Amino acid sequence: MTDAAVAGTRRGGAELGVVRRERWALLRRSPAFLIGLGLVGLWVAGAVLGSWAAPKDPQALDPIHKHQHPSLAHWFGTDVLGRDVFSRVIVGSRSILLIAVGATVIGTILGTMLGLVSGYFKGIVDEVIMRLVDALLAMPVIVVALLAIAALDHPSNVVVTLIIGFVFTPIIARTVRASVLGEAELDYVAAAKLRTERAPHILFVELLPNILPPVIVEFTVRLGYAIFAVATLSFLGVGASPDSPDWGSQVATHYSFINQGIWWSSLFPAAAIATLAVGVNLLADGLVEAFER
Amino acid sequence: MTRNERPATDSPAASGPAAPIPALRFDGLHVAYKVRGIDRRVLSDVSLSIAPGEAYGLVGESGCGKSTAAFAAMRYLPRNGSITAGRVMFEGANVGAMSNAAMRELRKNAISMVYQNPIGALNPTMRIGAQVAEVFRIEGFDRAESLSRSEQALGAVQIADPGQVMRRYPHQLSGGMAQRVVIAMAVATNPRLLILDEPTTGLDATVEAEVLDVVRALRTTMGTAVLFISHNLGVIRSMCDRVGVLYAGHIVEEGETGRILSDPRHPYTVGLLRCIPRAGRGKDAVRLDTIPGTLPPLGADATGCVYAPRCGLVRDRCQRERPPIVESAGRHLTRCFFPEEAPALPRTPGDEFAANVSIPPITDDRPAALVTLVGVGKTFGHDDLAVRVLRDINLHLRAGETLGLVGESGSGKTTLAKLLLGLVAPDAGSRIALDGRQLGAVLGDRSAADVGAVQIVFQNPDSALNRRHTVRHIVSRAVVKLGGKSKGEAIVRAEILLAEMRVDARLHAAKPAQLSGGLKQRVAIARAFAGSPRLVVCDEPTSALDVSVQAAILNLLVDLQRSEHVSYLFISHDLGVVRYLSDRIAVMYLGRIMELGPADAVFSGPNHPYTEALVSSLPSVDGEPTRRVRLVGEVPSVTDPPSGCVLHTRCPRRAGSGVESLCDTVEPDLVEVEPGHLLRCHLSLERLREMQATVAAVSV
Amino acid sequence: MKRFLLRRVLLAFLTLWLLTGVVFFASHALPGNVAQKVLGPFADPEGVKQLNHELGTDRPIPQQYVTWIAKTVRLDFGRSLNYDRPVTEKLRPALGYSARLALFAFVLVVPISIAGGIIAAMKRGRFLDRFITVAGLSAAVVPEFVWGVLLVLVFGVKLHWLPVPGLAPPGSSVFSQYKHLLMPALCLVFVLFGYIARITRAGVIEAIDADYTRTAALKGLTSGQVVVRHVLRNALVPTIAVVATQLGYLLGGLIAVEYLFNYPGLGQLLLNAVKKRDFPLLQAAVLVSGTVYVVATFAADLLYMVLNPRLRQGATS
Repeated sequence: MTDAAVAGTRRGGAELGVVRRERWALLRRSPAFLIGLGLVGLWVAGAVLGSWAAPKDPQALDPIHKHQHPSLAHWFGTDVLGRDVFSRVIVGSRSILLIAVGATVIGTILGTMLGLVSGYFKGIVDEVIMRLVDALLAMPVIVVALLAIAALDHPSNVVVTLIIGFVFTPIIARTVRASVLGEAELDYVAAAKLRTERAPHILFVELLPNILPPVIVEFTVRLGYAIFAVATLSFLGVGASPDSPDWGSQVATHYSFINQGIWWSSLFPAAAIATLAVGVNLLADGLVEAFER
Repeated sequence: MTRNERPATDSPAASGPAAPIPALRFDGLHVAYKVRGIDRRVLSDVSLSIAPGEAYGLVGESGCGKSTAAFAAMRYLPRNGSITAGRVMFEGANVGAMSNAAMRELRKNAISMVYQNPIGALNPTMRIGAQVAEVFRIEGFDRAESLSRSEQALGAVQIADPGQVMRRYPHQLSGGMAQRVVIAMAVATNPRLLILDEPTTGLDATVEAEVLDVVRALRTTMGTAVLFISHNLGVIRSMCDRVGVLYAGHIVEEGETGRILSDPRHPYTVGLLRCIPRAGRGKDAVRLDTIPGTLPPLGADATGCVYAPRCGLVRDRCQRERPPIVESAGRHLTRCFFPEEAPALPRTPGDEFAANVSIPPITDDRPAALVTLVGVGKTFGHDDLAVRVLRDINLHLRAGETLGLVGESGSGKTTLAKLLLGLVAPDAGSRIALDGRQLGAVLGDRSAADVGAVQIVFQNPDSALNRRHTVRHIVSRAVVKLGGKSKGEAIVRAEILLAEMRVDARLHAAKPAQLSGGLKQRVAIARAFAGSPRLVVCDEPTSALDVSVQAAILNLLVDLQRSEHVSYLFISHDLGVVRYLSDRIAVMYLGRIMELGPADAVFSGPNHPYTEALVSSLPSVDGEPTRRVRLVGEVPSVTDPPSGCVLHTRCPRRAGSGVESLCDTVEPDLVEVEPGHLLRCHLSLERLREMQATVAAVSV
Repeated sequence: MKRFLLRRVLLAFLTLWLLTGVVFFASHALPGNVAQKVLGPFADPEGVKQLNHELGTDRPIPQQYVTWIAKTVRLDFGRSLNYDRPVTEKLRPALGYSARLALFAFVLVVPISIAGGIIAAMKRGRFLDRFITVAGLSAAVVPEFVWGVLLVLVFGVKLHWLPVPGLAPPGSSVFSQYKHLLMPALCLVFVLFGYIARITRAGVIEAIDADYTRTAALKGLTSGQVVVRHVLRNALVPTIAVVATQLGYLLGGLIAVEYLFNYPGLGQLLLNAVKKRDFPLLQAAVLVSGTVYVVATFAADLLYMVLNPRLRQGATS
């Protein structure tokens, strides 16, 4: 080890708690992380409070006042049916967050299981799982999701969540497997075998805690892509219920009015998507920075 | 702060009437690394001076700042490192004040460096030839001239077929070959200063000896000044004129090498030397001394002597004032107030667990073998890709006995250990028995009692301990599974075990990352002893540790053996450690046992030519002349072992033996040549005795 | 190396075969009745039966698969239900349009992002590095259509610098055609930039920190020489391989971009096939995009092998 590396690690020898505290201090001082926290917090609040926080009824039609410019009465203007864009943007955060978080949780749990099994047992189990993973990865996420949606006919939100979760599974499985392959070579795994531990114990008690940091990082990164995917599917008009105040479908519905100078009804939902995705990404980036020191 | 207590003119090399300008000089050098925004000092007030043509050794344990000194000299500190005070002078010029262009000129043809991990030091995407030639290209030679000079340069480091090596990529070279290439590049332009930073660490002892021979030869032909950095006092003794001992960034002692190592005047040097196992003093004759305490954390600024917290001779004054560096006996400098007392440093008290339990020495009338291996082999792959890594291993181990297992890397030592443990299944027909009962081939076929009976202490405790579990959990879980105890009982037992291993109760709730290397290894040993093992495989258990920590671990292993009557299979590349600990020794080469016998007989000979070469490659701290028998060439690949005796391609005793053709065609059997001593060689014991009596044997 | 190559080719075919399985079963084996899906819930039962017979979807699934795959390998994808034309006839021009857009985006993004990654690595830890890394990765998680909306608003509607439709009117000059393509391509560039730049940055940093770079610097080479001859040489090998696999991603991105800019490529075709439950067309479009991905990753592996001596020649010491 070089002296510099020793300089970096030696103190860890005596005071691990200090390192953990320094990690949080690092996060607290990182402007990127704080901005991310703020953006995500804002949208989570919007999703939790829902129509309670919205100044107007997001579904109330008012065709006489359609396509109104942003004003004090309608902060983000009104849409093609005279609905309050600001209220719809606030309410729209719920479905995208629910689907994205749900899908990422499902994908992370399944992917972690699959990756653990594949990486630990190796051999034929690994070959079979990995070839299937390769085949699924040969199609872009959106394409797989579209294929499943076509097959399932007007899927509900729950089904869309499941589809995206399944699509993410192989991606996460591959990351987890790579970590497990390295981890399983370490002697503590041999030591566990040498005290007659069985495979489930080794997988979940010995290996899992050690691959958790990359799994957490992968979760946050994946969450960003889940938002990406959910928004894109609803923009393409194949996601859940086309009439709900979904950011993606709001953009799709009002995009054609941009040419007439009516920009607010598509810009604000688009900006909502961007801020949420970027917020999650900044959070993920902060965690990566803090964990990799 | 008192800097420069010692003007450079006091330096021995410069004290002659017409003192030449030193090749390298440090004037009160302070270096710090910025870690998490805080400067942590790594080198404090380091002054040294190396005369032209002189070899200066810098020795110390990990983290003492050795490598930092080297990179400071090259002006190549890591991104977060900086010189905070003092100067580095090359031939009288301040390196820190030079322009980048001037520095490049120096690196081009005046200063060169060689470091650890030679394969990493070569660009993986470039052929060797192009990399060596680059040195000449930047000197302004054309392509053809550069290539032909490269070939000569490689020839100068005794590479047999330079043309062929030049066409290869780094990953196609062995570590020893790669290090020679790096050395060839370093000395190609005839530098006036060569810095070697642990150049042989990680290489096999035989390869190390060859590389050191190359450096020594180059030094005599070129007269280069050398800064040689190593943790290995034996290597330093064999290579250097003068030595500086570095402790926590301070030079605590400096002087002529032989004098420092035979008559040290600083308590740290005295302690360090006592930690090292010496020839002729095994575990039954002497207990190793240890150094209590640990290195102070980086950047901790003590008011007094930096070594005071660990010193056995500490007085009030040492805590209050920082000792200046003073001349003690002749040209021998010590940073200690009481240098004349250092040789009388008291031995470490405590740590005497079970030391007084004496057991009768191992004799041949002792009970039957604990573990027996008959016809054990291991083949990886199959058909035309089959590789036989172990072949017809026959061995036994008695209760309470230590069998040392030595051999170069790739000889099959670790595979043998894995077979014993049941981590890998041996070939069909192999028989491994415990107390005369055949053991299952793999762990799944063994009873919990059998699994607990054969345990291991791994080389690297960082890898061996799950970093997410607490010390208490790691040990108690092993007690639950192997000792068949309830969780509550297991925790009680684990705490007793850990206490026996001298792991403080405060640390039982800690995770491995919070422990020092030595403590981690103690936890690993506690785990291995959780199920009352009969045999513990020790796979290089101290090679990741500093000598002072190693000594404590070796003492612990000896104590445990005496109290628990356990057997050890002790694998190590460090022959000194093996000799200290082992009752018997098995020497392996290319998956075969070449020699097996009592430790004394194997070491002092007459022994197998391979063993002879291994032993003579061991650099000694005591500086006794070692016989100079060298193995030539590279270890053949296990995939394609040589015909006849597998050693014949490298054997130092084959030439002139009169049985060369036999060696080349017929593989000798492992034969008992005297009671308990087995050799796999066509030459008789008498013949070997005769050949080995002549000290000046074939030197290659 | 031959062994490796052979194994790699076999794996590529295996992946393709598994892909056909996934595609086939997604459109046939999942619950529901194909013809019913096509004709809608209120269709005449006789018509449903009739269509199922025409499609062959009333036969046992394994038999259907064999028939289908036998046709597929001959590039016979059947007739599109929606357009009532052979699928290949619709596929070929769409593929051409998409290839042009994707390659244009690629040509733009690769040099920019590799340069960005190198600069970030060289300025490691400084502001420029953080900016390139954070901004790049943030841009990558914003969906293409959001970028599209922003670009159209700024450059199309407000500034009138660029035309909004992705496809230039017939008879336009080449320059004009690419002017129309610029905004759709930029959407893809924004999403790809951060990823490629990050991989490049990681590769360059690893090479900078490697011992061989130290060797090169201590030989007395100038920092320029060290970077060009030792750092980049090693850093760009993995980067190039990763970049090639991104071709596969582009196909996913094309769907939203083509829809937004009304560009008649493979993505639009695929989307329409989903909306109209045009299964023959959908299968073909998905298979084609999968094949492009498999070929791209195969090419990437091949390139990696050619550039990496460790794989090119086995260890022979």
